[in-house]
Amino acid sequence: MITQDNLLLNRAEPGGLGGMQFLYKVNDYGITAISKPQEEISNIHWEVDIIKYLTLKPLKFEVCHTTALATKTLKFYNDKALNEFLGKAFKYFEELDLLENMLPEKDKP
Amino acid sequence: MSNLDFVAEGKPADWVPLGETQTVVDPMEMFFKLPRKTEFITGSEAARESIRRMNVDVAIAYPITPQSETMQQAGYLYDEGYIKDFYRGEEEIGVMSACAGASRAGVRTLTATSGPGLMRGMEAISSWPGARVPMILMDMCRVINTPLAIQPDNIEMSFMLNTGMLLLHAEDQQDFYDYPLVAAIVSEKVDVTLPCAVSVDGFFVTHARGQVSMTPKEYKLPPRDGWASAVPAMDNENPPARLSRDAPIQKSNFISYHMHSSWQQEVFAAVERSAKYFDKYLDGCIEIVNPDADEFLVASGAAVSQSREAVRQEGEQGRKVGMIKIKTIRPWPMRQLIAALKNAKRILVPEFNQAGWLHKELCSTLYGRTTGTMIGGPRVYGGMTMPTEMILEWLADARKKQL
Amino acid sequence: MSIKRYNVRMAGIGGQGVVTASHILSNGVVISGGHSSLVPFFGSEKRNAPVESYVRISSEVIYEIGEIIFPNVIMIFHPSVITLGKSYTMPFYTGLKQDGIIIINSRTPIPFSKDEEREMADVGAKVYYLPATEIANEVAKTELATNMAMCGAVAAVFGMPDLISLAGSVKDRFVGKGVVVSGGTAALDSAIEKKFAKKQKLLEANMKTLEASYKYMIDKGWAHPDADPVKIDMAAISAC
Repeated sequence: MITQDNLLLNRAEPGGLGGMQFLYKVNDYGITAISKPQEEISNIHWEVDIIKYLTLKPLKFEVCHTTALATKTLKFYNDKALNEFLGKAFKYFEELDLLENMLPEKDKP
Repeated sequence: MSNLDFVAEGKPADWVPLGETQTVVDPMEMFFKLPRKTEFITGSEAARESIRRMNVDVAIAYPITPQSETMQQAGYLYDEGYIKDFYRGEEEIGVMSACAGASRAGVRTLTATSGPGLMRGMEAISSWPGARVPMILMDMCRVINTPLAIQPDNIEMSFMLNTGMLLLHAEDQQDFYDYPLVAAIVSEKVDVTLPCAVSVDGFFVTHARGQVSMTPKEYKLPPRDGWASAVPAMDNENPPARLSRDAPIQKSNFISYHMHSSWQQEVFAAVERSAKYFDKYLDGCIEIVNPDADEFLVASGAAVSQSREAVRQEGEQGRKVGMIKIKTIRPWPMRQLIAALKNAKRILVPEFNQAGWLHKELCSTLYGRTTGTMIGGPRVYGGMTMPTEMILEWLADARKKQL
Repeated sequence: MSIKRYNVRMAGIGGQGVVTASHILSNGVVISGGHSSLVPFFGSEKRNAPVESYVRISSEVIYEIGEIIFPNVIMIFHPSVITLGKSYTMPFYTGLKQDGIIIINSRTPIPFSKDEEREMADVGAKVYYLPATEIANEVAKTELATNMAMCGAVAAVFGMPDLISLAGSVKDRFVGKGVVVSGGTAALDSAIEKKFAKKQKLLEANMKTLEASYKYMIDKGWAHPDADPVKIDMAAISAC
């Protein structure tokens, strides 16, 4: 079972392909983890992207490949690996938030 | 069953089938009271867990994508001793006929099929209701040939609508765990005694993971009582078993017309009688989100998942859209739908099939009972996806009265 | 000319040739220039089991299909249909239209209960007792010609088809085109043929039976004014 900490919401994968999307949020950053149906059950995996939230109402975010966590979509084949990554990512986002707040206003991302 | 039966299959003489270590609980206890633990598992696994707690006597099936994994899992359950007897038939019509025989002998019988497999077994399946055989049929919907495809499309459910079977439509993995257990109990009620199909939109559920809250595996449903049914096991004195009786019961070697006619009425009455049980065990034959909205999405199965997200996104924009999930297709929850939709201005029916069978059912129920506009769509089929955007587009168009 | 319309329900016992009779009657009407349709009986062919067959006869095109629930003519080929309840329709007169006709193969009148009598009287039913089995035995020397006697009788009551057309229909059935309805009937056919050295003799025996029962109905005063008891001439039949 994947972690429920910092879970903003989970919903049916909006692309209509079936599967589920879990959205995590720590400050302005977050993670989308999607598990989609596969023809071979053994191929079921997590597709994970780092995201940055733009607005909450309506919920809008964009994929963010500029952090040190990931520069592309990541794949995880089991919940344990994903949970470990999520733990690391949450810590990273907290630190990132601290650092960003130290920047002068004009340089904030 | 003595231990000797298992010794022959390579089990040690002191082996205890795990099914026998389970405790029987009352269905209401299992459905509403026992504590549950949540896991993130595939629909096939959810079905397996359902079967594990179902106290199944016989499971017979023939593989077809995407049902095969589920029945493979059932095979493991048989090995562990949760199912008393299990085998793979040669093909679906043989399987469905064998299942009828098992059920007629008074035991809880389970099988599964999909799309073309359902079509192949249709002759036998359509003879189940008249024979009053309780049954659990797991139906993992898939495109019906031709051309060949394996992706989800639930047109096959429309072929079951008029058979006299009970028909549930599971939305997700959780439902695919809960509904078969309910099906086992309702199907065997004395005033019902009918087979029940639990359909699910194939791949989206069976080959994907979802959150499933499950009761402890130490508990199982009560066993079937073969003698407590509308047509007692192996009773060959009364219809519907074929027998040689004089006119006017028989007309030559066939049942006479009025006898068949009254039998059909009895079957359809039994379908209606099942509604009170489904209402109790499913906590309502329909689920309503935002009941005081004036626009509604009415859906069943995976289309509900897509609709929930559409409702959420509309909510973000400050618009309250209602949604109705129909759990029981047969018995059709006519009164509940009329009550929920009589003041609706707009009703959309998203479906994963081209015929729009759900839309047709809804129209025939609501005709003259709502002033709202009924919109048959969006529909996707052949395995096409239904993105949430599509539902939102159709909603927007409907508002502009362009539909 | 007013439309003549007869909806006939025939009921008898398996092995009597009830279904064959319906074919012969229907075909006879068509040969004579009228319209007719029949509803076949589907089921296992079992000797002594109840059999029903349905014929629609009209001077105009017939549209409706299916079994006849409301006949204006009922033909009972064997008394046990009534006395032993060997029938898919009970009571046997169910659905009979006002002033309908019932032709019963029986030498003597059948004792009905008070209710049955009253119900038949309520619809003004005209009950005619025809000793068809006796006529068949006397004329054709075989009980198997009972259905011929019934056909002849009903043709007299309707005034259609005429005897020549009816005879032509019989000929079609046994010789020449020979429409055989089923395996069971075919078995009966060979049983009949064994009795008659030549098919010709079989035809003659059947024709004579038709004539005899036709005349019986006329003599009793039960026949239609149009009924014409011509002598069936084999040459005339061959011309059909």
